[in-house]
Amino acid sequence: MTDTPQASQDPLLLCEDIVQEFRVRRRGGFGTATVSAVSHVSVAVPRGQTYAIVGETGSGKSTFARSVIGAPPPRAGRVMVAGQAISGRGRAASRARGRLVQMVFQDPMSAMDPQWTVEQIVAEPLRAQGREGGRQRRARVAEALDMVGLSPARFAGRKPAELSGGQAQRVAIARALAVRPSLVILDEPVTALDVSVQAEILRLLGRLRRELGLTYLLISHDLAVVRSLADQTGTMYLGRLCETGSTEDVFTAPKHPYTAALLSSIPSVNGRADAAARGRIRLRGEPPSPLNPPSGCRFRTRCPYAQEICAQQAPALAAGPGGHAAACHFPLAAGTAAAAAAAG
Amino acid sequence: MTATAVTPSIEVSGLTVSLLTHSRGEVRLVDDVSFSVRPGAMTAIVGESGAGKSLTARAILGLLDDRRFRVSGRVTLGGADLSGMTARQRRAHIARTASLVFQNPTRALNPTMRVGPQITESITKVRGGGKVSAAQARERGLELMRAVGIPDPRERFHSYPHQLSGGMRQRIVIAIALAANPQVIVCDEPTSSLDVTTQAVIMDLFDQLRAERRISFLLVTHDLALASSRVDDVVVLYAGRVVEANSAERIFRDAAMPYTRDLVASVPDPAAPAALWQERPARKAAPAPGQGCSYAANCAFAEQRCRDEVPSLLPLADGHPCRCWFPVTPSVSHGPLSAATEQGAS
Repeated sequence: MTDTPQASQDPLLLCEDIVQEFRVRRRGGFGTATVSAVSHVSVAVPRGQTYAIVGETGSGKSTFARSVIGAPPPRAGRVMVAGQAISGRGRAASRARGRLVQMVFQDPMSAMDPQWTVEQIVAEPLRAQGREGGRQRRARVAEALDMVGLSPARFAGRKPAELSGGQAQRVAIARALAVRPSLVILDEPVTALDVSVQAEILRLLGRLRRELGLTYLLISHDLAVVRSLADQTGTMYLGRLCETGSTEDVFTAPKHPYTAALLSSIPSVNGRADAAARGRIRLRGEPPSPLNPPSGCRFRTRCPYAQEICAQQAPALAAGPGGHAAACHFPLAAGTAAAAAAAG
Repeated sequence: MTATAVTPSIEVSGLTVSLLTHSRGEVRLVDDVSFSVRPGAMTAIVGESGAGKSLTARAILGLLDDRRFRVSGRVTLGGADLSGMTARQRRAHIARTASLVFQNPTRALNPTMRVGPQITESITKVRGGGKVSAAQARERGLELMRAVGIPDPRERFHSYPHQLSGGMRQRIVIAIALAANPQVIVCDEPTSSLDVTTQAVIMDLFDQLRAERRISFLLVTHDLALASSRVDDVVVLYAGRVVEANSAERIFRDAAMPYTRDLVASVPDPAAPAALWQERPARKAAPAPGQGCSYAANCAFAEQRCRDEVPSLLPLADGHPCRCWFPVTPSVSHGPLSAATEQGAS
């Protein structure tokens, strides 16, 4: 693949067949076992859009996001951002990654060196890129702080301990924006914040996306946040993509039983009445170990609809109308989720 | 809110907690908090960080260091008034009647100790050592593990915390909490570090414990959606004061205090994602208690009176208490001044 930028209708982020595996020592024994953390995940995100990945702890959503920024690069598969391949292990790929992709982490406080000033923190990715002199860097830092609604004069000299949770997350966003990336990976960007501050940060992220034409890859287990911010949503279970489609489709008419179960367990401010109306699907047991994932469909051990074929054949991600696809042998038809909940 | 027929398991009245500082004297962090929880019921204290909700929970359980905090007010646990007891009696009574479940099960458990002994430890310690034999404690520990839904308790008994998933660890913490056979369990953000699917299962477990053992729960949480969908009553705390309290079904629907309304508006609603994008002015920090309503600086309806005088917590026309000079009362049409100011003046 050459490094020439392609036409704008091409997706800004294209992940093809990403595989991420880790070798671990077998418990109490000899030799190693392989954890299949991400298994053949493909995602395409158009410029200016937000793609959200939801799933439980251990579903591989964060590992997938990390393989996009090369921490570590995927074991197999290809990541393209704005037409450039960035999944390699070489120096050029790593430079391109730093320029094109930045990441905002869940806990802003632990993502910052407590000894550094806000100015140093925000300037760090610029320094790593090494493109500009000190004065220009200063200007870029001030610009980035302005963008996130922090006055450079008041905040540039502060240390992380002198920031509130919301301010710290703003600084983390400013740091990500300083190099003017095309893609920003948001890993649980508001989970550590209070609800009222959450709303502020989400609005800020929405505004920045609009003004700077940013593309987001959002990792979250908070489905309300996903619903507000994402254009497209994918659900992951045990390293595989179960369902993908427009956020509207996935939330209102989930096809994969896992998505339906996930959605039915979100509490809502409308209280009990709402929960009763939607019905609730309880998952049996615990997610199986990724060291030894179930054969066929990885969700089958907890699925209320599992049949024999589910153990034998891994279902393919079959696309339906509007790009709404589910990897399931027995996808739910629209409206059956609630009925199924009543029965199960 | 208070049922007169049954004795509440937790009754808090006028609870005030002050931090003793060298430079600024006493700083009041929790101010005149009152509420009660019936046997088998669950009450949620909701609020943002710094609202004083964890401090309230800790003050109830007598966990605050009296060299740093001054606690006043009356707390009744399991029908017995704690204020009349000596420190020693109080500790013994709280240990017998109440338990605490922390937010992070990984930190609450001892990583170097198998989970089974961590459960039996609290059985033997609370019952007074010698009365329970090791074998009896072990039997009871296994029984508790079954009660909280741990599959294969005999095998899990010998697991270390790191060998269990987050949901399983939280179940162990709950089993430890149940070991003393408490009437009251105080949960400080019990499900915040868990997945939504696990959260739903843990909340189901609480429902089961409420129904079967009549245990009362005090849930400290910042998750309004969780509070409104899974508990009986909700107490909203802001800057150390109760600003509104109501049943879970009505607290957000009939919110009369502007803070509660703003809080509800800031929750992203999966059913109405667009509502979030309305720009709102940035919030200012709450001032120190004492000078007017704490929310006045951020309130869209604030007037001079709000900045000068602290409003009292008074029942509105529909009976639910609210701390506001000009409460919004949707159910009684838009006449915010009528009911409230009369009560305020009296």
